[in-house]
Amino acid sequence: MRDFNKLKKLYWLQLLAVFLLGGYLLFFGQWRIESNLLSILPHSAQQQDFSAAEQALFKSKSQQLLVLIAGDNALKAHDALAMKVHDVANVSLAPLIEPSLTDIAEFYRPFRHNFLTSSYLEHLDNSQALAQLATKQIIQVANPFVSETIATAPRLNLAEYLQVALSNLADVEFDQGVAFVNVQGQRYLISRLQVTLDGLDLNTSVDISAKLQQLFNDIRNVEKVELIYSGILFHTAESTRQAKTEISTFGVLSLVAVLLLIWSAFRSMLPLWSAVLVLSIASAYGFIAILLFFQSLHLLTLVFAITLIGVVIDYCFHALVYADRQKNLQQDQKSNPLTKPLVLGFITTAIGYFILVFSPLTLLSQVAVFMIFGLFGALITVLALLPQLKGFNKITSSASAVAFSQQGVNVFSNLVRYKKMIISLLVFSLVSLAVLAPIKFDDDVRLLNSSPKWLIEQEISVAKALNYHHSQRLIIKAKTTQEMLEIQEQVIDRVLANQANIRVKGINKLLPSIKRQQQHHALLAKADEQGHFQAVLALSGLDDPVNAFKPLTFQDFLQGPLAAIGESYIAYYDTGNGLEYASWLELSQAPLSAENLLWLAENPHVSLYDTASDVSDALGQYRQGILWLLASAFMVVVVILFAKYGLKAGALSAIATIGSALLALTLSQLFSSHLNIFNLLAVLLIIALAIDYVIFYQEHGLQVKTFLAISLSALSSAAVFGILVFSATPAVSSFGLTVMIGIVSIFILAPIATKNINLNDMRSS
Amino acid sequence: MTLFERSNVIAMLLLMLVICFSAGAENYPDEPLNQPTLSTMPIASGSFVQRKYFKVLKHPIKSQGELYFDVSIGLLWQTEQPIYSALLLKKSGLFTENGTGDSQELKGASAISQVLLNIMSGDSEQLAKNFTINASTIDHCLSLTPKLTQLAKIIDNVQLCHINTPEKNQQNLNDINHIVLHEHSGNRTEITLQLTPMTMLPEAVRARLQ
Repeated sequence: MRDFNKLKKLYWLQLLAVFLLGGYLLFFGQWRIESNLLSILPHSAQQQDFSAAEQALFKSKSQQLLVLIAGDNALKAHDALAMKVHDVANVSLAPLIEPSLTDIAEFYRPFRHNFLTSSYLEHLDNSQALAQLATKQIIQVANPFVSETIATAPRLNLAEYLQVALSNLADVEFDQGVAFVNVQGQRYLISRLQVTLDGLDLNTSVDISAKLQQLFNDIRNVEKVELIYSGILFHTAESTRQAKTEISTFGVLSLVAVLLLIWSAFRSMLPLWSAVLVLSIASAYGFIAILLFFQSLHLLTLVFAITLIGVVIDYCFHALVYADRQKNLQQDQKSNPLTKPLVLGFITTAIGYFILVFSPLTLLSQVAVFMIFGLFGALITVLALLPQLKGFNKITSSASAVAFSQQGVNVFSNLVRYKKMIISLLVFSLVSLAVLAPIKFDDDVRLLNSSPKWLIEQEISVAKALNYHHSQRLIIKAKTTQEMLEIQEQVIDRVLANQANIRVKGINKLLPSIKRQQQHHALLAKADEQGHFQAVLALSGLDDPVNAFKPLTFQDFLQGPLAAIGESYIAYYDTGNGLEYASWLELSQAPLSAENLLWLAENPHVSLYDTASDVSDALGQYRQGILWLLASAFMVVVVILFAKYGLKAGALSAIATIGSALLALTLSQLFSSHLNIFNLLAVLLIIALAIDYVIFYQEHGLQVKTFLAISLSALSSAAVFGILVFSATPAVSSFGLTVMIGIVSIFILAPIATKNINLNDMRSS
Repeated sequence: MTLFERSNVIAMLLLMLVICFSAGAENYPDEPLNQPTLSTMPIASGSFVQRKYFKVLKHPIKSQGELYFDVSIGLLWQTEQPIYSALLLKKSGLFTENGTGDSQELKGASAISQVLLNIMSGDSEQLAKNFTINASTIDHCLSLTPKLTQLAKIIDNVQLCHINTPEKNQQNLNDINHIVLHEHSGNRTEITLQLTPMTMLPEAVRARLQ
């Protein structure tokens, strides 16, 4: 008695402490909510190494939105957007600026002997060829590069160099100050918008996205133009909206389904309130644990966390079904028939989730922490609080529930007679399915994209119009700008040596390394000394002595008229051990060959910036790890069940547990064209749940009470996980489908595997 | 092979614009008699002599060659002297061609191509949109000021003139045969044309423009 009072006090004390901690974390903790799927997916070691460079290079771009407008009234629509976008808070116009050619020519003039195009380099020892190159330029009708540079750089090497360098970057053209691109004869005017608020919260994203979409629709309707847009903001807003809808819809549906089950099984209010109390405390424990261990809470975690209802309610059902056996609990807690199976069940489920805590997927770590702490809160509440509720030990199952359970026991008792046949059928089905439809995984992270189709299509249209749809990006980083520029040149030389058809877009031409500038200067000076430029200079009759080498540095460049282009291609950041510099290159017209990819992969200064394939690779590696983990889990299950229940019962229990897991996986593949890592993770959970069912049957035998408790648990879990199948997020729906199939399978297989059958249990109790 | 400047393309296009300017002739019925007239000439071939005057040079730089155009397929501007070079405006874009026939696309001039196509197809509305057209102070000349920023950045003004030559390039004495492109830098390009209308371009030229 004294022990129980001590336990009661302890329970209330810890509950108070947990809620105080929760309140503190909620109101004073540094936490935020996220909805970007990529932020919770794994990253490869190389990507982690380059994450600071990526952040520095692409952070501001990730806050940019692009709007493309086409049609007869495109200019009017463009102007209307420019005017009205200021009404949308936290968004401003970021116009694309066209640099002045006069300024550019003037800027490069002091460095004019440092720049040679490949054509000039090729013919430096051939006076006639050099003269032809210059003549071709000079006879062109109105070449602004020649006009701007001929007086100061009469070799015309600078004119050709600037023309080549600038045309290489010029996918975008300008008309009356408005940037545009032509796509199959259609002109699309480009507006660039910048989200000005750093670190947008999700509600603000949804708000901005809604206002902008309304503005876009108004412009479309008024001006009758085609308007397409892209930007991460829109995806964030859509994911947020979708996750919120699912959390509320699925949460309510799950709760209603579970409460209906309780009502149908017990026909009184106390079980309902008990369940709501346990569920509330469990959810609070899970949520507080997330706040304690993570700085951000992903909305998808909450979608997955709805499954807590399905598992926690198992504890409630067991407590409710066995409520009348807890009459003497206050005298002797150890006599509680639920303590052992519930604690065992918690330990096995918690172990299942604990494995996920160390997952490289933050999402899974969050879900696992939420579930472990939620289940712990539920367990101690069921064991310590529910028996104290007035009238709890008088709760009895309804007559219809008992009748249903009796029927179930009868059916399964009969089925047990055919257990050999059923098990043979299970093994045969699994083998057949494995042969006919071998399990295949697709780790492509794009298959997990939950953005709506219309938004993805717009994104693709914009990418195609701006010519980066199939481009690849390389990031180059180094300790100094010059080292970075030199590595960048080595990379380009190497890539083009193997694949001359690749188009390289970057800052490399406008800002070559000092080393390369010096090489070009020396070559030009040598050719000049040898008199190879005499014919060229004779064309204009102008003189241009080659001066001592003066390099164009990164710092000079940032002071020049092309500084904006420089800043969009080069960034620097503090690594803690000093500054580091990074630049990026856009490669298009052909994908990088395997040879080039291999060479790049071996270069520690270079990384292929392809988030999708990088995450997919990491998911693939993680999936391999999970497969090994599953194999180990199967072994552990077999050993435990054999050790605990002997050879025959242990074997039957193991077959039921592992069989239901494998059946869930193979059947999931029949329902969806491919399996992903979330199907596999669901299998881990199935094992954790299945072993609970098996243990309950092995401990209590196939009897009416056990069958009723497990039926209610299975039904509620199947309903909760089954609802997830309807999620628009493929990760959630895959997970829900596999767990639901697994629960149905173990519900059928677990009683067949039991060694004890007691038809008179309900009557005797 | 050396790349051709986009500006050259622009200038060629301007030239084409001038050649095909006739499409808008009906829009200026009240022009004084001493101004050149524009007549429709959708397909033609001819020769050109170009003189470039740079402020820093004492003498102009002269070049000459042939040209072919068909508004439905494009333009071939081929310099023969002092060196060979060719510019092709096709439906698919703008290309330079070297002596061995290898061509290279010049990206970024598509807007001008589109403007030109509008002009060539006789879209007078587009023509008026792209240029402000005035009577020139010089006899037998029109003055065109580009509205299009891309053109306006390079060209300050275009003069379209008729100069009497011993060989008349067309039936109509007032047709344009001399173009002066004035750049902002003070440099200018003078082009003298001799054009002959055709019903169809030679097959070899058509093949290059396809």
